[in-house]
Amino acid sequence: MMSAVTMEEHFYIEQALYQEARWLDKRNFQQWLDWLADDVAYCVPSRFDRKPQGRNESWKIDEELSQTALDLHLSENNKMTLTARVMRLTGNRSFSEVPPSRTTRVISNVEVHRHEQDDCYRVDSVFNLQRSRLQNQRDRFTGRREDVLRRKGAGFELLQRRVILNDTVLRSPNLSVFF
Amino acid sequence: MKSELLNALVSDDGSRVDRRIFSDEDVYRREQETVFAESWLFVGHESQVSQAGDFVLSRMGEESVIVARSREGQVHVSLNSCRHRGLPVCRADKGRANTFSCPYHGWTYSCDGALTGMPGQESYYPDIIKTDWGLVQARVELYKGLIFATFSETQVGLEQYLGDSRFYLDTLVDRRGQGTEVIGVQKWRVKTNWKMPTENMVGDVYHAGFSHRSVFDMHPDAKQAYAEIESSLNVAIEGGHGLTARYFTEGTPIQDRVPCEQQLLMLSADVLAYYEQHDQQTKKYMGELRTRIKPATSAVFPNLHLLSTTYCIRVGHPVSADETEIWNWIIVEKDMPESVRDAIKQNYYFLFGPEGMLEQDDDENWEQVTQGSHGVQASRHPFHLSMGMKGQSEVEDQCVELPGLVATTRSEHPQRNFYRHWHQVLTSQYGGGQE
Ligand code: FES
Ligand SMILES: [Fe+2]
Repeated sequence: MMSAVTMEEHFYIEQALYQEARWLDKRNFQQWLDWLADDVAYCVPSRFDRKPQGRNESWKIDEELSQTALDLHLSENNKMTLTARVMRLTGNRSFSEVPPSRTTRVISNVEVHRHEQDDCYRVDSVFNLQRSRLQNQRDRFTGRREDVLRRKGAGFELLQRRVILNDTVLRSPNLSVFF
Repeated sequence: MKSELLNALVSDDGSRVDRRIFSDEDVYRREQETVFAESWLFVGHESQVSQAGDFVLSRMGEESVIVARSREGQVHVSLNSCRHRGLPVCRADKGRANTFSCPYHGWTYSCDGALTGMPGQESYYPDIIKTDWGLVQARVELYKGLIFATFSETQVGLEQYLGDSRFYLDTLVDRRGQGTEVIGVQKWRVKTNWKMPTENMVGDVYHAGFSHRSVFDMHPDAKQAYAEIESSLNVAIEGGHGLTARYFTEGTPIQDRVPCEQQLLMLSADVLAYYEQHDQQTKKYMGELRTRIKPATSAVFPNLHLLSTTYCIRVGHPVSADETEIWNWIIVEKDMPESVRDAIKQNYYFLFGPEGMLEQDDDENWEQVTQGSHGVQASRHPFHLSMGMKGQSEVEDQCVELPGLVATTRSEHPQRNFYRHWHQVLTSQYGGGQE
C-alpha cells in the first residue's frame, strides 16, 4: 500500500478525531478552536445531482460539488471566521442556539495516509451528526470528511477539512453546528 | 375553507393578519392555485443558461420546471413532467443536453419542450399528433438577465407586473448596463411558511436590533451598520412588492454610499476602488438620484428576495404550509474583478446562507412563527401589523421623488401592502362567493 503510516500514528490520529468530536458534543468550543491550525481551511461544498456523461470520469464525486468561481459552498471558513462564530455562539444571544443544540457525532471509517508534506497526514473519515433541539427539532447530517492534519508538539492540529454531505438540499434551517 | 372565513383572513387595512395563513392547509392549497399559478415567478438567471442546450432545474411554486436554452437561442420554461405518466424527465440540477428522455417509457423532449421521439412510435402510436404532447410550457419574460415565468395567460406583462419595483431593482441588476451573472446556488429548508421570509424582506427592520444583536455587538463597526439600517426608509410598492433602503442626501461622497454592507463587510480597498472607478458612469446611466439609494432587503411578490447589500438574490419556494426551501445566489456585475467577488463571497458566507450569522437568527425566528401559528386558541388572535399607523390611517408618503409609499422604518406599511395584495390575489380567483 502506498504511503502507509505506522499503527501508532494511525491510533493517535484516530484518537484525536474522537477527542475532537467529544469537544464539540460537550460544547468545549475553546478547546476545539485551539485544535485548529492558525491557517486552517474549513469548507462544506454544496452538492447537486448531475447526469453521468461518460463511463468512468463522470462518476467522480467532485463533479457534484461546488468548485468553480461561479459556485457557492454551503460553508467556507478560516480561523478568524470560526473564532467569530464561536464567540457569537457562546455569547448566549445567538438565538438559533438558545437553547443550544444537543449533538452526537459518530466518527468512523478512519483512514490515514501520508501527505506530500512531511509533517502532515491525509485523514479520511465518515460521520453521522445527530442534532436535537427544543422539543421537536431533529436534524441528521451524514457525510465524509477529508482532512489534513499537521503535527504539533506531541500531537496534531487540523489544517484542512472538506466536508462532503450527502444531501443536495440541506434539510436543516442552519449550520450552527461544526462538522 | 368557507368564503367568509377566507375573506376575513386579512383586515382591509392590512393591520390584522389571521395566523392560519401561516399554517392552514386549505389556505396553502388555494395559494398554489392562485398566487403561484397567477404570478410572475423568478426561475433563474440568464447566465445559468448562456449556451444553447444549457439547462437548470428550477421551481414554480411546488412544481419542478426545466429552464433551458433552445437551439434557436430562446429561453424556455417547461413543466418537468412527462405527458405520458408524469415522471420528471430531467433529474439533474444543471447541465447541457440536446434532449430529455423520460426514464419510464422513453418519450423524449427537446430543450424547447417539444416531444421529439417515442420508442416504437409507428407501431405504438401510429396516429399521434406529437405537437399536442410537448412538455407544458410557461410564459417566459426576462428583465435585465432575470428570468421570470408564469402559467397564467391573463397576467399582465412582466415590466408592468414589476412596476415601480424596477426603479429599485436596477440598483442591483443594472447599474451601468454591463450585465450581471449569478454565483451559486445554496439550497436549504426552513420549517416556516413561505410568506414569513417575504414579509421579513419587505420591511422588517424592527427585528434586527434585537434578533441580530449578537452580530451587532461583536464590533463597533457592526453597531454602526445597524444604526444605518435603522435610519433607512421603508417602501411599499403597488403589487405587493416592498423594500427597505437607505436614501443619502445630495453630495454624499461615494465612500459613504457604496451599495454594499460596508461596516459588516471585511471590505477590501478593492471594493471601494471598484465603486469609485465606476461612479461617474453609474450616475450617467441610472441617474444621480439612484446612486444615492441603497436598498438593504427587498421582495418582489410573491417570493423573490433581494438582499442587495450582500448581493443576494433568492427565492423561497413553498414546500408545504409549514416548510419553505430557500435557493440563494449571489449576483455580481460581469466585469467585477476577482478580488471584489471574493470579498463579496466571504462576506456572504459570514452573514447569510445556512451558516450566516444573521441568517441563523432569521431562520430560527421564522420557524418559531410557524410554531405560534398552530393551535385553536392561538389562531383566534390575529397578528399585530399596525406599526406606524395613526389610528385607522395608513402612513403618509414622506418622499415624493421616490416611487412607492415611502416612510420611516418605524412603520410596517410594506408588510400591510404585501398581505393586502396577497389576500386580493387569493380571493379574487374565486369571486369571493363559492366555498
Ligand atoms: S411516463 Fe414518460 S414515457 Fe411513459
Ligand atoms: Fe434578519
